Amino acid sequence: MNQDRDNNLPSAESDPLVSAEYRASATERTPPALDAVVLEKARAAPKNARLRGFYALWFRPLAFVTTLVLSLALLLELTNTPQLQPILDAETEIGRRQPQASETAPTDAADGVISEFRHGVDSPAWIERRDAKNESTSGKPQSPEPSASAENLNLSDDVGDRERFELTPVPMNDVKTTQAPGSANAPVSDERASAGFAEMIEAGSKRMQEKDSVMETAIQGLHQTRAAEEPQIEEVAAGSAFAVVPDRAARSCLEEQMSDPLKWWQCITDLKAAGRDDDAKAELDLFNATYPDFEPPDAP
Amino acid sequence: MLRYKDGDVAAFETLYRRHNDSLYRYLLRRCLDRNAAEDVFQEVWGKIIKSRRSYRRTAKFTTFLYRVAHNCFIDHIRRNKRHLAASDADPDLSADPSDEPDLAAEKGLARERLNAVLLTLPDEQRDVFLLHEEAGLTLDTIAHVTGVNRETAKSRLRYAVNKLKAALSEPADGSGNQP
Repeated sequence: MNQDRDNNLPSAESDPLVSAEYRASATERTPPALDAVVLEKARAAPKNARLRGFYALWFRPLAFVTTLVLSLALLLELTNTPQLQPILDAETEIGRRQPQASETAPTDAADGVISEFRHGVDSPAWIERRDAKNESTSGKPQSPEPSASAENLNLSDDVGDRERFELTPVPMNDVKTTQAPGSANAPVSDERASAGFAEMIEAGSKRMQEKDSVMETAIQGLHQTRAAEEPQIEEVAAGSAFAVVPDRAARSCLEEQMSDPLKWWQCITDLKAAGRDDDAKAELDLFNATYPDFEPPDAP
Repeated sequence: MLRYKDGDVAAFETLYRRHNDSLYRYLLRRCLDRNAAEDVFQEVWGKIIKSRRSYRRTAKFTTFLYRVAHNCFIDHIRRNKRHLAASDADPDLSADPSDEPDLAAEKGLARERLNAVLLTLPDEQRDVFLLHEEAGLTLDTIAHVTGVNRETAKSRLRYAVNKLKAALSEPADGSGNQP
């Protein structure tokens, strides 16, 4: 009730005289130009809203498609950039050359001999030579025994083959595979297993002997090749182990001594004891190049 | 306003014709400058037009309109504080050029006297008085528009009316300018 009276503005907050005076004096009207501006704005608003609605409807799909097209264009541009193609080609060329460089290291006859020496019983030349030898001894070709292959005996590498053969235990499963094909499925007794193992040992020893002979052959071939190409080798490999190799005619140790490392070593020791230090040094350099893994019984 | 929201421009024109003059006078007496009042007037109607989509009929349109006008005037004051400080002493409430000379002179005198008294009122009291006289708002609505409680609005209105009443009851010998 009190609030209603206040809202109706009783005499305390409203005075008819003041209101009348104010209303009589407040006769300003809005300028027509101002009316026109506001009404024009009010008329234009719904049209703009319709246009804005149209743009708002198509804005997102349009933006998405534009982004997609620009991304594809950028990708194509980057793919077809001419500066990148030579770099890619160069990288491909480098990748192609690297394995070739490692594979084609031995390029001359001496390196071929060295390769045969390194590959040992696995080298094709040795296999050919062995087959020829077998034919000459037995009169008929023999196929290589699977039990004696370098892979089964872990003889694939020439460095430390002997030690590996002696130290590496061969599992019995591998022994089974070394048996004759006809007895592959038969039960293996301990005796047969030990017999197979002994055969394998024997075959390994035989292989090692053959390998020693191969090494001798390789060394001889190496010396012959080196003697034939010595001038070029000395020119090219100055400072290397081959550079200090003396002339064949001036060699102090005999060929027979060089075939046996112990004899060769003894020859070097004798040279040193005789006071021929230069000859001993030259022989020692050649010896070290030929037998890098040789452990001397005592220092010369 | 709801019809205008649906695209009926004629409805807006009707609404505008109903409120344009009172709003203009309200702003003219608040800004005390014709150009400033016209700028704020356009701004107010621009906001009304722009807000038609989000308009909800929670109160009378008059309340909504004068609340927007009140806020626009405050923004205008903040934007042009320095300029208004210089123009405060020189209100531009000249006579309407469409009036007859005698009538204009008589109206001019009364208007001059009233405007002089209005100028002496504090801004808050003048605001409340103008909202009451021009917009015809109740105390509750005035309190809502100005952002104060009802008792404050009531007190301001009472002070404003008392001052105007005292000034108008004085003889018109030029002493009406005294507060």
